[in-house]
Amino acid sequence: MDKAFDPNQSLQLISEILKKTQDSFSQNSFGFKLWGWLVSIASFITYVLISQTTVNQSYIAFPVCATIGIIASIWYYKKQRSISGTETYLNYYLNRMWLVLGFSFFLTVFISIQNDIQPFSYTLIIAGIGTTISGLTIKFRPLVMGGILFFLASASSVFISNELQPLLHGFAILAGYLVPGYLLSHQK
Amino acid sequence: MFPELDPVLNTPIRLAVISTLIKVKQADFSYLLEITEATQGNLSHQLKKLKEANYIEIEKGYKGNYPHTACKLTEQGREAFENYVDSIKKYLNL
Repeated sequence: MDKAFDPNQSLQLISEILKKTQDSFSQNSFGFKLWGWLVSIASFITYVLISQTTVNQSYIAFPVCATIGIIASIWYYKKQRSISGTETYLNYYLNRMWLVLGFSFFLTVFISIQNDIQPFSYTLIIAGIGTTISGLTIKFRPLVMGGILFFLASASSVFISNELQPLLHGFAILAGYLVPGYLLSHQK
Repeated sequence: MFPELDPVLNTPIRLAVISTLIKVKQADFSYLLEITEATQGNLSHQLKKLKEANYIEIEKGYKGNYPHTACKLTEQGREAFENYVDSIKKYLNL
């Protein structure tokens, strides 16, 4: 039961265990897919409301989609935790980072609307920070590319009209969140 | 002169448990069973020894209607693991 072993065997065992406890990348893809769909749909609805109607509450799709996203995220992560009973430090860090960035995202939208300015240049930077850090941390290049795309889209947004900004936002989210999210779900 | 290897860690199951807890914030009993490929009785015995050495904390509770055991590494356990790895590196001239 308590049989000791030599340093070579110890080292081999440690490296085997570290391999076994590797993070499941596909688990990380849920957030990108969920929020990718919700935020891009909210962006396209906002574009239609701004360009095709005279509705005052043109940003209404964002709080509605955010509520759906928060409920779905809480449900998913509670379920995941009860199934695995285990959380790696990397996943712990990434989940908390996205929680803080998610809060910053909604605060940015709220402040921008109150100040009567478009929030999209700023929300794209927030999405870029989270996506780039996630990609670099889990060493997944499509996410890094997605993050860079967000930064480029953010810089480009200042050169287009206010009316087109939610459209750019929607397409950037499709390419920066959803494409890497689906690629990630096929990783081990 | 080589340093003596920590006898608490120098056994397969206990070293596997501590190596797992280095990477994960918390691990439950069934996860450790899967990782270590030990029997329930043996794993319980080894966890008890790690707890006695103050290398891990064990939290017992319920998840739904089922008993649930979760293990976490203590600061003392982390230091012991680091010292253990340093020692085997010296043995292997790494």
